[in-house]
Amino acid sequence: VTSTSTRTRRPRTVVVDNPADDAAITAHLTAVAGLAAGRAIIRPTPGAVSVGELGLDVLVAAGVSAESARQQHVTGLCWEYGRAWLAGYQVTDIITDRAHRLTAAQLEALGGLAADLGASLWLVWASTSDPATAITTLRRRTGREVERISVWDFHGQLRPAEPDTARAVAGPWPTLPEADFITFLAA
Amino acid sequence: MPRHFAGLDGAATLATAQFQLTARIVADLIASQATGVIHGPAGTGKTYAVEAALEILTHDHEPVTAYTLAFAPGPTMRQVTDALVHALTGASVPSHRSRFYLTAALTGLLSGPPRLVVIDEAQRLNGDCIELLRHLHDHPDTRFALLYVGGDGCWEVLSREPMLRSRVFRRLPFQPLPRAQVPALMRGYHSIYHGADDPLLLDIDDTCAHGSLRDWAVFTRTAVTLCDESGRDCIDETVAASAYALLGGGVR
Repeated sequence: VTSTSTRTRRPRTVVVDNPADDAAITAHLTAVAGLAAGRAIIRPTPGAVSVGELGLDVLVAAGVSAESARQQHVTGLCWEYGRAWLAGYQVTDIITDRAHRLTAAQLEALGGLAADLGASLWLVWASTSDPATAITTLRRRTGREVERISVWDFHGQLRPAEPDTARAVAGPWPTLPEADFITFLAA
Repeated sequence: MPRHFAGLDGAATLATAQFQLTARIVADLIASQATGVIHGPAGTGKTYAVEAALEILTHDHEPVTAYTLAFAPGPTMRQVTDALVHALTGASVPSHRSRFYLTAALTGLLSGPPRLVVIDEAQRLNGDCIELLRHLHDHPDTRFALLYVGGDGCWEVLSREPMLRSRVFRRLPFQPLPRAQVPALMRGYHSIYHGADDPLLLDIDDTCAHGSLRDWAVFTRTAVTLCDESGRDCIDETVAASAYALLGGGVR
């Protein structure tokens, strides 16, 4: 699945060096996040070392409950579903927190996801460990050069999304149905 | 107020600077949904001070629920996850449930009203467990304050983890009571010390307590019994000597 949005920016692969594990980046990630703005934040679950489990984190980043995927017995397709949802949102930036904790296979899968979607991949490397191996993996998988920037540069290059003014003036909210909802269907 | 160590009755709460700061720090953590650490040697009153602070918890005049968890040395992430789910829901966690889904469920469970999660004996956690708690605390959907309380080596363990060190909003190291303040503090601690002179109280501290409130509680409990048995209202050298004998001669 490939996003059909018109892209004006060249997709990048960026390692964000955060050797002191500066906590301020947590608030910045929350500020820049927003699927409507084309940005998905992946927060890998600690201790989840398989590619499949990271796929569930991708699904969550796409706004889909992992529990719903489990109940619908589609966890084996979480990467495909996640990719489809992200394509649907026309995601242009995939930001991955705690990337230093990912395995090589997980990084490779993320690189493939970003390449398939034509999206920029930002990896927050909150460690003093050398990301050289990860960079080699990502370069090979995405076919792009991998940039390394500081947290400071990250704050400047990925700013909080502008309010969607086009959506704001689109009109009033639709009228809610008067009938009670009996159940909510999982997304 | 919480119970004193060793079930000691009739003892007052010593409003030391550390005790008062604990209440302030707990309030600050709740107000900011932040992370804090209270650490110091065993017996210096950390747990008592935290329990006292938890009794008056409010946030914007609404009661705040606190969950205190303690683990055996070297817990796994699964054990931490299960303990949190159990504390928040009251339900035992089926062993077949994947930790991944439990972690995801915790982000939902911790997204409701403001809460305080207290991790006692925090020096027992390893880096993975601290990372798990960071993951939950950093998540934009969750709303809870996180307080690590630990004994000897706690700060050394926690501060080795950059992900925690950079997130500590409040930190309070507990110390044993300063020797010079012991006589005045102890005369307000229990009625048997009201008429005691400074040299006797300092001798008790040097022999048995060494500034530890826990050791003072143990000594006092013993001394109260001896005073009752001998018809005394106040401790003297004879009672102190008998208490030393019952407490191993003051050997630590």
